[in-house]
Amino acid sequence: MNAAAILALVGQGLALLPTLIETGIDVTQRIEALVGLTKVDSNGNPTATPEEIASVRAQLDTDLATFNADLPPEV
Amino acid sequence: MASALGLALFAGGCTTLSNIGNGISLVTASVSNPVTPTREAQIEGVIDTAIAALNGYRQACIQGTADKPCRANIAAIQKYTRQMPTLITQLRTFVDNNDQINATVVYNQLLNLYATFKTTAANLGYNVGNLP
Repeated sequence: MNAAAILALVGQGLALLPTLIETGIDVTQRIEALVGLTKVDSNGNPTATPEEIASVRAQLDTDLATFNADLPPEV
Repeated sequence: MASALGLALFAGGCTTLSNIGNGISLVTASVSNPVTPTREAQIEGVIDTAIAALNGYRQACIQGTADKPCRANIAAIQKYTRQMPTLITQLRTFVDNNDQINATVVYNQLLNLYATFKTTAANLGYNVGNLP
């Protein structure tokens, strides 16, 4: 995946941010994570650290678990 | 070949699941286009953004401020999102072990899951837009 493709990918993720803000979700962490994953060195190789990758994985696990949980009964 | 998923959850003053079309882009993996840890994280990060948006819709549904069929909509979507954790766990393991053959297989299974997701949304009557 080249840099342009990466930026396009992240840009599409960022396109959802207005929706996230409207729903009251803290987007700061997600912005930082997405931006961190686009960094490359002088040779164009990604420079995301294992910690950054682990953070993204953990956040997805948390959010998926929340969405996949059963809804509480209607009141 | 590519597939995409996007979410726009607001229309007027009521939260609705109204459009799926611009949020996620998953490009098919191959031997010449391997799934590196960074690439995997990029995909996971974008998926997470969409899931976070869905969680906003879910929360609105719980609070009674979402559209009427929100419970049915969420259940329909969960049918697919509940398959994701297993695939993601497998993908991470294969990527961490640089097992590109299996990583590519699982990555593309996730891609197919999103294609099914798209079809489900269309069947629910939602505009899925012009996906790449």
